[in-house]
Amino acid sequence: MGLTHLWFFQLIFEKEGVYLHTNAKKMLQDTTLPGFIRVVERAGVPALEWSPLEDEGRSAPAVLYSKKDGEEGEDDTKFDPGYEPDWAVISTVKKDQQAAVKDSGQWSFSLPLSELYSLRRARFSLGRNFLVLTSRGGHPLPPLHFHRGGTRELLRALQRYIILDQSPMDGRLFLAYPHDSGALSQSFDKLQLMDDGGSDLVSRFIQDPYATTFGGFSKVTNFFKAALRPPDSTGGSRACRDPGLPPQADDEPGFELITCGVELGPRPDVCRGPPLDRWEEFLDPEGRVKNPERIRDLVFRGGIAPPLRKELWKFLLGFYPWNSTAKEREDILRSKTDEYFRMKVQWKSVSYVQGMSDLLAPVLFVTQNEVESFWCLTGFMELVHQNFEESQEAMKQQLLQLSILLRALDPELCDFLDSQDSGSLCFCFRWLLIWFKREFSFEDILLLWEVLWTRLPCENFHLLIACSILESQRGELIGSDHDFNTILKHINELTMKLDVEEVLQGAEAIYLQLTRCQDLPLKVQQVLGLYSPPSPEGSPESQTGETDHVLDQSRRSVAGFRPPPPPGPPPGPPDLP
Amino acid sequence: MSETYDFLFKFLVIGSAGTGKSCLLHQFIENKFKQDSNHTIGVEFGSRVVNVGGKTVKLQIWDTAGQERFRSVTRSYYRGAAGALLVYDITSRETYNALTNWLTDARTLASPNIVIILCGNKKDLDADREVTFLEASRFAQENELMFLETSALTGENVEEGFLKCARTILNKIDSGELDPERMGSGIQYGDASLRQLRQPRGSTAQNKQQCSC
Repeated sequence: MGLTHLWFFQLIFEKEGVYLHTNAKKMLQDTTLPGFIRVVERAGVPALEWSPLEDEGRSAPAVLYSKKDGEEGEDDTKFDPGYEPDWAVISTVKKDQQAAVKDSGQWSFSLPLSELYSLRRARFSLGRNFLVLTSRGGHPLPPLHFHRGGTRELLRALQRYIILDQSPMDGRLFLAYPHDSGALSQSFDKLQLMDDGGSDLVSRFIQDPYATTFGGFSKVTNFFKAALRPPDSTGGSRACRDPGLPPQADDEPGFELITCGVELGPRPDVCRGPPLDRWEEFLDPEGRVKNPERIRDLVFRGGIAPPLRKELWKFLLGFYPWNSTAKEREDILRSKTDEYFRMKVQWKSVSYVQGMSDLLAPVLFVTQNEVESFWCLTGFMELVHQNFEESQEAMKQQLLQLSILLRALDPELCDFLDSQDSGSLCFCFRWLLIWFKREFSFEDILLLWEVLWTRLPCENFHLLIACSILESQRGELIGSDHDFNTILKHINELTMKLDVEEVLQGAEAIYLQLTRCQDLPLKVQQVLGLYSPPSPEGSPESQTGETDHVLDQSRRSVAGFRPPPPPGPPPGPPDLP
Repeated sequence: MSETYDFLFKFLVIGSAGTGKSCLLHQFIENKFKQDSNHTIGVEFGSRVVNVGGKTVKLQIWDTAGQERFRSVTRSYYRGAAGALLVYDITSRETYNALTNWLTDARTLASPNIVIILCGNKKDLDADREVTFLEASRFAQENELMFLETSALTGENVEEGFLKCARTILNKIDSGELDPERMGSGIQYGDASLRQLRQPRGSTAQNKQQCSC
């Protein structure tokens, strides 16, 4: 290595066993690279750096910290406020910077701390902590998984240079602020002394100092911006992510929504059941449904056998009350038939909105009857009519709710979508408008809809279905070269390629995972219908209790007909010492 | 196997509900009339590689929902389109009257240099005509649009519409009026042109590209 680029180098913090997830294009197969995370000062400019293990010896700064004691098995839960970090020594050495910054593999990075915008510390399903860093340019860096702990220590080290402000809405998210501008100008003085060895890094730093970017780029997401107002005509929102360009006026910081990054527990295993294929035994002698909840549970779990659909859909869609007798139902059918034909002669034109025929077709197919299909469709429209309203407010609301769920569930995927101007999730519009009608085969949609008509386990289960599908595509999306156009195209082209059972299974598992989370953000709870005003001793359990109970009930009732589901991972926080 | 083309253009098909946008797209791609056309929800895609002026161009065509209430959603798909077919139904004055709104959306939301061709569709239903050719062509002139009357049913002028739009864009690229490299231009270089760009200077001679200098 040449000695032409000597830097004034200080190692502040170092931790090994930090794996970078490349999210390479391979489906479901992320590549993980072991390496080191470091906080360093290069010519007085503090930076956060990651370099792969394989580079060591060639480019790494000498390991100059002293350890207080063994580090293995450390975990956040051990942390108490009086804890002293296990890094201590700060040493000054001269170092071959060229190697460290340029040569250390394509995934290594060096991020000046002034470029750090936010940091989210979350826990993977295996209990490991991982960090997702966002630069001021808006680009998420590859997630870093701390297999041997050390995230809290790293935060401590960073706090020497920057303020990490914990989001009031989400304790896992930290926004980075400068301590003071004096320190900044000092850094700049030093920067002037450097040659252009790290010109890219340096020029970015100079062009993007706090003074100009702070606030201008202060957006984590652009939830819904695209849907609520026209994007600027030059594709500027993408351009403005380029750290080399000045912020656009359009980037008002008031429009941000920061949520989540919660530590979710493990996702439970979920088993679907067989379709409901018995009916008479659920009726009392007068023909009342003895236990409607049980029916609903069974339908949620496995759908309805085709021959029973015609009868059961009328209950699910409110044409027949569950507690009606067979005799009452005959009367209902008679009077509703009269009513239908009375109305029909009065109809001149019916206000029709695109998509409604999608809803009618399966209903007509199953009922095979004009009158019944009309009333069943009426029942269906009770659930979805807002989707078709002129204002489209309900659609906007649902896309927003979906993004709240997805951010809790998969912040990394959200960051990617945001980075490609797709944070509004407008590519899910068709899914939500007509309840996935065009995404699945006709036969599958019959099942999916009857599951949704049970309104179990929550009214927004269709949003969880959307999450389930989106998550199944994360491997294809993250780290790919998809842009706004190709993301939309890719999602659009999933039609008829999805497995309905897998999707339903995933959606329920997500529901259970979220509801079991101890510190689920309020917004997410609201979307899932879990939130009720806090009681004096309202524990998370008491909030999730009811819905879990419903599901437990359904699991128990199904257990009689099939083997019980395989035991999932134990509940509660994993891998506590 | 990836297709080889010189350019990829993003196209939009916009206009009021029921004017035949999806049928125009279907006719262009499949060369036949789509009888039982479903309403478009959100956006649908189609693509076809065409040969225009010696260049192969892949048209990636976005067919949008026409109903008014979905416009707030479909608008978000406009960004970065290089060309658009603005469609009305010659048998429906209502769809013609709505053109100004669609035009404003396209010019403000897609690329500012978007090339738009006005298509008066359902030309085959001349007996029910509510909008004359003359009136529409005047509108087109005033708004700097190209204009054709088309029939998705018979296929008349359908291909011409798409090709005319593509040709105009290519001309603008040649004249320097459009810069494919500009963000949001709706134009991408394809594999073929990338290969040419990467070729060493000396070897381009064998391509026999006349006056490409």
